[in-house]
Amino acid sequence: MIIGIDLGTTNSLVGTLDKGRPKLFKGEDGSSLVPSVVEFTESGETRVGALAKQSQKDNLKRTIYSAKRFMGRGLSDVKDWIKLLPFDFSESSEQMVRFKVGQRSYTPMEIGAMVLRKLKSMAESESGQTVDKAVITVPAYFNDAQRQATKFAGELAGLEVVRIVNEPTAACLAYGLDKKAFGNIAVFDLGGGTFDISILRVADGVFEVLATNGNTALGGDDFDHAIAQELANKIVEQSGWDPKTDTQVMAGIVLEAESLKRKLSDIESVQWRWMNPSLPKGQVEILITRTEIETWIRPIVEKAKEPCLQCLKDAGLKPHQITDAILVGGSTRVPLVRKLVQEIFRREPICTLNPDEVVAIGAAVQANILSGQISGMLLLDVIPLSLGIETMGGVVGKIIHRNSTIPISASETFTTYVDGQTSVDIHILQGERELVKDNRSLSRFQLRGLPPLPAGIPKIEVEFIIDANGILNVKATEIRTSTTASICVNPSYGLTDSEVEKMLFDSFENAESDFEERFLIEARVEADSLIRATQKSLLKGKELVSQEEFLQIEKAVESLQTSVTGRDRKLIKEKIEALGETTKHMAELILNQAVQEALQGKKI
Amino acid sequence: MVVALHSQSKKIKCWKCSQETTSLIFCDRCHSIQDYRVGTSISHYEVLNLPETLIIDENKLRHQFYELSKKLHPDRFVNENHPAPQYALRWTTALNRAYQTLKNREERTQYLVEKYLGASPQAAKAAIPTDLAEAYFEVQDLLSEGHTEPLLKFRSEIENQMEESQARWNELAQMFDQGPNKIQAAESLRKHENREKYIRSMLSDIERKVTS
Repeated sequence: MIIGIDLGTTNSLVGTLDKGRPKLFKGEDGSSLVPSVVEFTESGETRVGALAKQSQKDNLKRTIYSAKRFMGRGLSDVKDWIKLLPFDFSESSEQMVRFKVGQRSYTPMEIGAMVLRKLKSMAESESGQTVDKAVITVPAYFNDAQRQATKFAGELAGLEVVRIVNEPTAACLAYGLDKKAFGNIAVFDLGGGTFDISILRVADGVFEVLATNGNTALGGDDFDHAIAQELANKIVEQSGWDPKTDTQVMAGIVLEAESLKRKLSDIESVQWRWMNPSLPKGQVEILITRTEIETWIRPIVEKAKEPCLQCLKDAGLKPHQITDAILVGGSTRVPLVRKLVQEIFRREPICTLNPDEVVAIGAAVQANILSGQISGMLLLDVIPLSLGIETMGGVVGKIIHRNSTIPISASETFTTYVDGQTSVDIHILQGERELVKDNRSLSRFQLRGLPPLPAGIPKIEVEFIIDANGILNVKATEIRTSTTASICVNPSYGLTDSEVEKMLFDSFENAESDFEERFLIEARVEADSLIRATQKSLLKGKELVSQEEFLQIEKAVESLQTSVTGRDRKLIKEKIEALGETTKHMAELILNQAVQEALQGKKI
Repeated sequence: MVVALHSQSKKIKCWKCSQETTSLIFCDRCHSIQDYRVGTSISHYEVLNLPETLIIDENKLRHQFYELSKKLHPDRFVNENHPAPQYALRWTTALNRAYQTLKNREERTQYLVEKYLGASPQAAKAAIPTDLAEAYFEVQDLLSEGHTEPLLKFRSEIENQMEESQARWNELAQMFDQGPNKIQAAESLRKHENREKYIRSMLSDIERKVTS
């Protein structure tokens, strides 16, 4: 079974298709949404998902969230964003961000892997099958480094990532399955941290992306931060105390801002009460209206406009030629966002499918297509950003243009500048700007092992292939001698080989403890439901059994309840069995009575 | 029939069933995907199984592209063993390149013109067609002066030129398609395309100035 995974900034989901119908797996809290949150408790426990989110506000410094915003990025990429975050970063985060928790540091990939491992085990325990292959979604606007980082996170979690799929495309697939989509579809995907706009043509079962655009640093998190700043200002106005002096306090206010934002999507105003010992009165009470927060978030929402207009242009379409506009991502619940979409596409946007679930469902559909179970549907995606090579003078020469349907390849011929040169340096960049310094450095290649020849003589043909994941692969051949030059690839987000090894090793170690954690949770859940069922039966069974037996049952229940508060899974299982044994006789008696009453025509 | 590619030159041995086959994409016998033969020059039209014409039916082109994609895309070969997925990747890359070129009128024209005349020499690209020269320099002046009104007026004149140019393309394309003298038709088209490039460049310069 190949599972489909939406690895989101705020929440993650995992699902599959069951007899053609989408099925999302549920966590221990009964929800299909697993918060992309990882908590490292002081006692050395790692909590992932709902459990971590629940205790987040009491352990802000050691709870990592929105790790996706840091995937495949260095600190310089995200400097502005991190000001209101409660957790710390390592000094060595220039090339690649590392979260600092106590003495240890973690990369975004490792955090992502922990979430992925949880999703994997959810799928396995609910389906009863082992899962080792997955389709994972990424924002369409993710660059090569971000895609590779996501794939690597999958590997760390013990998953073979069969395909990386773009989120808006996946969402469109979900609609295609549901509504038999047809025509020019615009997918507006605003999540916690990323924004994508994709325009697809859907016909004959083919989902062809015409153009895509977006902003990988624009999402609901930004609304929260803006609201938090304004709330802080109001607190100063009302109380004279400035919460901005304390990062931990501000981080707490960000969580309040998120909650207010949600409430005000449904109602017009909220009386916000916030308590803090540093306040002169110990608390403040402020009336917040929807109109107010709309003023605060409007400049951020407006940032989504330009990518949409550019996308229409690249697709060669005018707004009236769009058949449907689809909303994806939790942040599209904000009324101001919906208004913007309606303005741009001149129609009422559609959101009949749950915007939180639609990407995971699409991933599950793609997983099904790849396992050969759906032959009439096909996804044709594009590369979102142009690929270029550094040429003389710090200028970029584009070799593959953005919005080219993938897989795609392009060849360039290089030569040497010095006699006897045995290697050539090539710098690959991604982006639309003209100068090297304005684009993202993707990687630097060294073609080695060239036969030593006079300068300008070797003809090295380099083939750049963007595969179906949107990831770059490179092949090189020296034409005259037909030697394939060996390529040494250094992804610019810079993990050394030994770092990679260590991470893989750590992930296998953690896999063990994760299993234990999962089994423990399952045992607790089983115990709880058995206790409840027993107490229900006792209401009837109390009259049917002897006093002695009744006391025995009560003792077994108590014993089980005590074991649940501990961490010994085996003990819990033992107590579950013991309780089952003690209630066997009572269960028989209850059944006999029911049968008798039925025979006598009495209602049970 | 969607796929009709047969090798004009030699037969190859299918890697899977070892039978000889003339079909270029799928084996005649066992239908497994064959390698995209690098070095064999397969034209974009051959990949898409369309007649080699300048004037094409866009819907038919898209239909062929979709149907072939469904057969060749790597997504269809995820569970297959090596070397099939590799071959699928190569064929799809060729297919995507073919579709990208043929669906765009200018690129399609350039492709066919180059097929018959060879690559365009550098010198020819630089020369401004004499009948456009005056207009071209006037646009440059207006752009540097920066007044929008005269630019907008000029823009509608150049837009008319563009319409005429596109009508002219239709005529030349028909002549090319109907043959028999492809070389001559290609030369006319090359001249035409060079001219149209200047018209397009003037329009985009004005557009950029007006919207900034």
